Amino acid sequence: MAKGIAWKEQIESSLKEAKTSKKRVLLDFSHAPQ
Amino acid sequence: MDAVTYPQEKVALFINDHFVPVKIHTDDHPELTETYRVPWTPAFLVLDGDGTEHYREIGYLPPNDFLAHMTLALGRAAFEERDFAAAAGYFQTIVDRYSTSEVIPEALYFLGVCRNRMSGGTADQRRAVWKRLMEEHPKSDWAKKASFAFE
Repeated sequence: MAKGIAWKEQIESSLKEAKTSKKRVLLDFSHAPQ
Repeated sequence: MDAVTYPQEKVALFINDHFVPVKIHTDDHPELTETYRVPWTPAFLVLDGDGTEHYREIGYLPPNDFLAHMTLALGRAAFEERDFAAAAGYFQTIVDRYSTSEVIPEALYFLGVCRNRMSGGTADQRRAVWKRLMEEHPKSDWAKKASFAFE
C-alpha cells in the first residue's frame, strides 16, 4: 500500500513538473531487469 | 529499449527536451498496469500535465522509430488541444526527418487537417497534403481516410 502511495505521489509530481515546464509526461512501462 | 534505444544520445536529448519521463517496472507495480490499462510491455503512454492520455504505443521501438512515434505523440497532443500550428510543426518534422518511418501516412493525414484548421488555413491546403499522402502511400489506411476529399 505504501509503495502504491509513493508511486501515486511520484506520478503526481511528474504531472506537476510537466505542467510548469510545458512538457509531456512519458510513462514507460517495462519488465524489471532480470 | 535499455540496451539499444535509450543509450542513443539523440534519444536521451529528445526525451529531455520534450518529456518528464517516468519509468515503471511492471513486476514491481502491477497496480499501475491496471490503472493505466497496460497488459503488455514495453508500453509508452504520453500524458499532459492534467494526466490526460494523448498517445500510446506498445512494443519495442528502435531509436528512429521511437523518435518518430514520440514526435507523433507530441503532434497528436497539440492537435487534441487544438493548437493546430504547433501540431503541424511536429507532423512536418516527422515527414522531413523520419522519411522511412511507418508513421509517415498518419503524420501526412494530420498535417493536412492542421493546414486546414490552423489560422489562415484552407481546404485546398489540406487537399494538397492529402494528395501527396494518396500518391506516396496509396495502400495505407490513412490514404483511404483521405480519399473522400477527392470523390
